[in-house]
Amino acid sequence: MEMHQANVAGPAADDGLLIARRRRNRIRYEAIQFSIIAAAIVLLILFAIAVKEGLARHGIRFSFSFLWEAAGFDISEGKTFVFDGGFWPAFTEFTSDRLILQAFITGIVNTIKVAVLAIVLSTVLGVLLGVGRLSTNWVVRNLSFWCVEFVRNTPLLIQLVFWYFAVVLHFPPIAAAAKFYGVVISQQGLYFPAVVWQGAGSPLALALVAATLAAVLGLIFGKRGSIRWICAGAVVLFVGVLFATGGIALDFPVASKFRARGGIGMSPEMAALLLAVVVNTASYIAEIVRGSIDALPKGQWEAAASLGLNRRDTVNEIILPQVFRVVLPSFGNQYISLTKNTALGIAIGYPELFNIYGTIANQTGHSLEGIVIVMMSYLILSWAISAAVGWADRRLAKRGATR
Amino acid sequence: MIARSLKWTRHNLFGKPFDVLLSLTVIPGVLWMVYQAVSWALTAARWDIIPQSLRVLMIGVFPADQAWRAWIAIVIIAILLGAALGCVFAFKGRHAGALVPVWAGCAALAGIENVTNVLLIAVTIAAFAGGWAVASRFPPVRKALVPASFIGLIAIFAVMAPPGAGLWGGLLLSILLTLVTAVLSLPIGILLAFGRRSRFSGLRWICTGYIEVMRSVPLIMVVYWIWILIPVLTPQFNLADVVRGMIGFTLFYSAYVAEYVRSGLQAVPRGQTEAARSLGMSEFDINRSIVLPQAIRVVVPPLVGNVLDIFNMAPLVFIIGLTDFLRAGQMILANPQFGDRTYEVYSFLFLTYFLVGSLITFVARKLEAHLARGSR
Amino acid sequence: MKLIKLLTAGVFAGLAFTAGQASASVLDTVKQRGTLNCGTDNTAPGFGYLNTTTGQLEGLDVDFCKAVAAAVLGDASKVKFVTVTDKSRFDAVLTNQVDVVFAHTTLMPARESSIAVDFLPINFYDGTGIMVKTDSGVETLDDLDGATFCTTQGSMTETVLTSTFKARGWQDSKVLTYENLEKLFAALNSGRCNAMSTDKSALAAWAGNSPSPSDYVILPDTLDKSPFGGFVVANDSKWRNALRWTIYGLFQAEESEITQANLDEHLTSEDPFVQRFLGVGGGHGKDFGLSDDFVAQAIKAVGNYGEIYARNLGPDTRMYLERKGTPNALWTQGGAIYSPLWN
Repeated sequence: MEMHQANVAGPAADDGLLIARRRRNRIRYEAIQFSIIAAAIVLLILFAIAVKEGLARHGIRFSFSFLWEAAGFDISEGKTFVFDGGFWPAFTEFTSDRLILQAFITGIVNTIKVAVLAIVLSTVLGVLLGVGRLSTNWVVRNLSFWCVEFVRNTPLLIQLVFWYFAVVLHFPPIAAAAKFYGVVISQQGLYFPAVVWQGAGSPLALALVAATLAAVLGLIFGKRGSIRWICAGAVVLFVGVLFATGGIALDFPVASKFRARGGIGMSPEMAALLLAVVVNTASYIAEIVRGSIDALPKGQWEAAASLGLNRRDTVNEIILPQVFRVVLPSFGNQYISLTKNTALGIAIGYPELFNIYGTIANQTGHSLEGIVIVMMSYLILSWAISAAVGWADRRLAKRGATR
Repeated sequence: MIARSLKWTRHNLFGKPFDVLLSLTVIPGVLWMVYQAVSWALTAARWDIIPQSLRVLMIGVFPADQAWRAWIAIVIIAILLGAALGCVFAFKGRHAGALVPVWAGCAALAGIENVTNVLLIAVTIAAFAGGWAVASRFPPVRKALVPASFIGLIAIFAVMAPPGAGLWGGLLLSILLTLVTAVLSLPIGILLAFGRRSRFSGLRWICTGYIEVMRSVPLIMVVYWIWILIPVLTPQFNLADVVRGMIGFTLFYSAYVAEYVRSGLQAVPRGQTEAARSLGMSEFDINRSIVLPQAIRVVVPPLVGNVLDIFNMAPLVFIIGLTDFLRAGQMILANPQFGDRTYEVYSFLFLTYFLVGSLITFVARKLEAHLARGSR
Repeated sequence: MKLIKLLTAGVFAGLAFTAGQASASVLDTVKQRGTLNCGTDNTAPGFGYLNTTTGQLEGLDVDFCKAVAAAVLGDASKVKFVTVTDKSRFDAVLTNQVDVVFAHTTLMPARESSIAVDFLPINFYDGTGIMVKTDSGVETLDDLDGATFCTTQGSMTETVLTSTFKARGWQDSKVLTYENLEKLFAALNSGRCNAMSTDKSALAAWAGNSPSPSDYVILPDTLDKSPFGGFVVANDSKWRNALRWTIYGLFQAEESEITQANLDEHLTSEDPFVQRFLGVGGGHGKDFGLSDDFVAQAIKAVGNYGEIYARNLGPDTRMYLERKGTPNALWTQGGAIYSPLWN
């Protein structure tokens, strides 16, 4: 931009005049620049003073000391960090004698839990739906189309209520729960078999775990295909040996009077929120995927066909790799709105951050301070997602270049 | 005919073994679900709750004897929407024909025995068609659309305000909120988009910071925050909840509009600005009359999609105690007498949302196709 | 730049207003404005809810709003109802958006100490109860060890349940909170919640209005008391006193058997107590900055406390709440509805 300014002055101008004009332009630029920043700072300060005065006038106290008071309320699910003398904080179930601060942490943990699961699942489902809309099969094409239409043209809040009250709560009660290879499906929650550590201090088990971790790292960061295959094989082998030697075991859930014990449980609220958010985001992702497949030159399909590739191979080998390189930033935006959308969990009683904030605001009356905390949490989450997506994008671009 | 449909079936449904499997499992499943839904809707469902509480669903707690104010607002909205449509699609005879069943459907829902309502619905649809026809026949009208929509919104506020803005509700509130947000966020978004491309890094930071922060926090928080903060800052003005909700929505969606506009600005070839500059135009003139029109042209379809987003997010105003369409439905259910009509009420809400949403999506798609054809 | 200038100007203007505002009593503000902004719920049957067929707000809290408008402004129709939620009700009063809130709010120390509001006299005595489905086989509270209890978010029931679990040593019981009662009831019906816990009045209303009331059992236990009262902004004794005595007036009217119907007879009464009470030829109103006949205005608008109760909550309504034998009866009948002396 500055260069253009100089160009306008034209080559006809005399050198001294040009320098003088440049200096004048620079000074003017700096002056405007300075006044903008100064105005912004003054504005912020005035804003802060006005808020403070206004709060004082209305007798609303602004202080974060309430964070260190005992909570006094329960949260239906979720863990928090507990500092009980040890160097590392313990990560245990929230109880009513914990601090308000720990209740906030529980909310953040619950939000992250849903967000991470939903990001993974919605990406998979979204790509499937997006490719499905271009399928040669009439059923798949139309099913994908109508799924996307229904979801995109209605409010998420209604979808959430639908998933919760019309689907999840119509699962069988715990006494008559459907059991499926150790998975328990009931309206009191979904329960999956869990992997539990039983190796205690056994050196063999510890060594095997270390080896498995190394293999997993190799699988993720391995540069060459053959190395990654070897690592994948090693992971399977080590885990198998761990099972065989009793280092780890599967813990199956067992239904009791009101809920199941053992295994990994997922509450109905979380299941419904997850379903709603995953299907919603997947529809938007499907549109992005379809859009970028449409944007690819038709020649790509034709070239693949002339090479004798069938449709599935064309999609998997030719089309999707190119699409992924383009769509990652748009996926990132969807991941951010997904994380924000988990705040609707309040409508079905899932204790995510915004829901717990609501409880805290009610019990303590400190709603403004709570909002600051919640806002900062969402900002940090969003920026973490942007950073992660940016990192993946750069990595993908680099890999694409070296290939 | 039969041969052709057989061929179609074989090609589309039973092409490959995998297709056969899929068709045989999915089609009966979908048919069964549709059958269940339809048989419930026709036999088990008790729909009398909908006409009974239609007024609450449409205008919330707005006083019954002031309903004429709501009707004026609805007619103004119909004219504006019709005119907006007329800017893109020419009004034709068959469109007029399609509006008659729409009128019949609305009238049946409102109850045919209520002659005034049936007539008022007819007036609304006529206003819509009128706005559409006028805007598509007389191009100068289109130029006046933006100022006209401002004036229209102000007129609606003036008409609706006397009984108290706190009483606005129902579908009318959802639509008003959407319109106000869509109209107001456009200029703010454009300013922000230019700010983010400014020569002055200070301004750039501020605009970028604003946009990024707004895009990182949930709308429900922004709305609640603004709702609390405004009375704290300005104790003398007692701004109605509705207005504060609209401010929250506008501040939030301006950031989104800014990003859409920015992507449009990036699509304008550099040569355009350089050519204009060599003609000696000022930066302001270049941006206003060369860059912006081209950028807006590109981003009209996503901006229409943005309107749909706003409409779908409107239920979040429940957090500040407003009664939008969804909340009005929940309010009916809050009466224990109607506690068992959950499915009826939610089905009605869902269908209405789906209809409006599909309409907006349809317009956006047509626009996209229209513009793509134009640029070729 | 223009935008920034405008914003700066706006903030300056805001500051100027902040500095210039005089600290008048809400009572003067309301009289000057000519309308009362009253915060109520619109989803709580019996207390404040929208009758979807008439489009009118109805309920005990709504009637108290009308009574206050009649007492302060002499016209019950000069009330503007502002919907407040459990979440927003305190902020609404603190930021002067409403002059008073009647929204089935439980009176408790934390709410007067850490939130700057002052409560008005208790106008309804409720208690936290528990409702289960008949087919669940639950007969006593002890059968619910380990169960999932559901309640509404922001109510005191949340903490009440937590302390109940603690007192009984229940490790596995959970509290699930929903936004509103309608979702709570749906969750109980679906079986997600083993027990629905909220104010007994609400439990009775939901069970009684359901298609088959015999499907539900309300356990006899009362987990905690839950007295409801309206509230106003703190440290405005002029406003608070005016409202307190308006409410006491409605209690006293029932005790003195002055009703909406027989008000006119009492206005011509020779009894000096009744004359002073109703403000015939001078009364107590002037001392509170109200007109002398403020109690008479309130009674004319909504009737005495007994009438308000019968209209909104009594056995003839869909709430089916018997008054006899509960604290909501007049003190002369063994209840706790008691007005100070009006002499």
